[in-house]
Amino acid sequence: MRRYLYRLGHSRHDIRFEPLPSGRGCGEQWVRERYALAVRAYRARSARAGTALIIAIDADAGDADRRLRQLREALEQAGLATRTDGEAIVHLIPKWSVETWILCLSGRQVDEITDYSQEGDVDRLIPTAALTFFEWTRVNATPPARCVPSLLSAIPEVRRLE
Amino acid sequence: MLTRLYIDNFRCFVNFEHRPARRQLILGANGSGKSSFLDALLMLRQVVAKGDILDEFFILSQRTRWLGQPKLTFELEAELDAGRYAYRLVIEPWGEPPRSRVASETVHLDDRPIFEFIAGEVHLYNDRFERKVTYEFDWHRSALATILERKDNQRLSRFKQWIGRLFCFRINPFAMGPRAEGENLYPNLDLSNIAAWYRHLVQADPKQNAAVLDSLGASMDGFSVLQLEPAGENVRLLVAEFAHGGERASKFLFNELSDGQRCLICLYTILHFVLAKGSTVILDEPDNFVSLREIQPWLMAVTDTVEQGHGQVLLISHHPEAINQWAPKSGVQFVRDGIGPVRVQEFRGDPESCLAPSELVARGWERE
Repeated sequence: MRRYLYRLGHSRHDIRFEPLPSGRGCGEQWVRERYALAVRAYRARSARAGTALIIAIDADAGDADRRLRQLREALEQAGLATRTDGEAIVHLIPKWSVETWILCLSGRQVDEITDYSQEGDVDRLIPTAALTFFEWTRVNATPPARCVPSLLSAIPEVRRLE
Repeated sequence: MLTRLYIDNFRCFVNFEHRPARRQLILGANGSGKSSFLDALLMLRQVVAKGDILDEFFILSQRTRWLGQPKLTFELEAELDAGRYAYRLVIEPWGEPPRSRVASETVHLDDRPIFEFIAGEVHLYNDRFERKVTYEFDWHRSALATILERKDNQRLSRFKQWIGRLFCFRINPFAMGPRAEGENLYPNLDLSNIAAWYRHLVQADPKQNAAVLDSLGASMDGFSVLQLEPAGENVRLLVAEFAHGGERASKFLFNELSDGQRCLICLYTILHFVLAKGSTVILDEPDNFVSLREIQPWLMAVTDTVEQGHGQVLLISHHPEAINQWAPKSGVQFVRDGIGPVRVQEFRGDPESCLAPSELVARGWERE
């Protein structure tokens, strides 16, 4: 994501990266405890300065809809309005893990049944995968047929950054 | 890159082995041996690349106190373009009062000897692994340090070049001044010679200097340029220029900058002139003086550089920012039971608690 944002013209100082603690159930816990806070901060700041909020969270064994439901519920419980179309709040939810997307963007034929999170040596693919992601998400670009559904659904999401 | 370091009978290191990654965060409690790790690497670098004599490091007094063992052993392995290099140095006490001397010093490439200095006798090999020359040498220093590059010892020279480009830093802004009375080819551990080293770097590689200035411009409000201004015969003063809006630029001597600004200049100098050129860099608590806002961008820049295949960085840090960013994927901990020897463990975190890595460290739960 960092490299993708560079391609969009953002500098390192424009990006604040908050890693999620790794571990079983940590994604759910982050959504419960931090998502609503992050959305509140985004809304407060976006009124006075260009701001975006990008949430990248693995779908793991479930599906993206489950994660989206959790995110919606977190806002409801915090008394916040649901995400609107005009808000630069981006939800990136790769099926299983981001390795699925990196491999797909690197030209590998992947599916969303297999868990690729333990694939070795994926890190070195990140720079070119980020470039491909940039190409696939450009206006009028057509991703190839091998693009997995969860990655396809990321394209309208990142357009929220425009 | 450095792939293995083995130390036996030096400070808290007994039969210690560490295999660093290309990008690594080294964590550990106070007294866990992190800084001694850097000191060991620096000593090896100084002995092998600079030719310092062993007694300058008071090495015998740094033997592990509870061990009572006479010999110290250091081994380095590096994966370079020519193959896997293994360097081994064994130091022993000799005479009364005892002085340190080299019991053996060897370099192997893919398990075949290319240099040996054993019992006071040097054996030189050519690039076809044939032993060519034998001669006696002073036992109190590295014989490898004195080997000059020739057409037939390119393999050995490659290793010497690499170890010469092993950079260790413990940045101390209080020790830095603006005067450069010449060019220094190598930085001091604390970067007290930053002005003279920078003077050398901008001469040698002006293109990289543009990258340094760009990064500093993004990190320090109003920063425009670093300059070396003449101040007498062969003396230059390192000066930073700042400008705001349409106002006239103001110049500040390097020592008039804040501690954090001096550190930022050092960190981006290291990033662009050293790491980006493929060297191995070990930094001891580089984030001490840097504002919270500036740590993550520098860590990102380091990550980008390493991911692009340039260099290797080992970062020793207690800073929560560094721990949260790097520990989950690239963290190792140095641990000791009481005052026993150091061991290395991968940073595991705590998948059950979902606490941030720095919070685990703050609570002391990361070792449970």
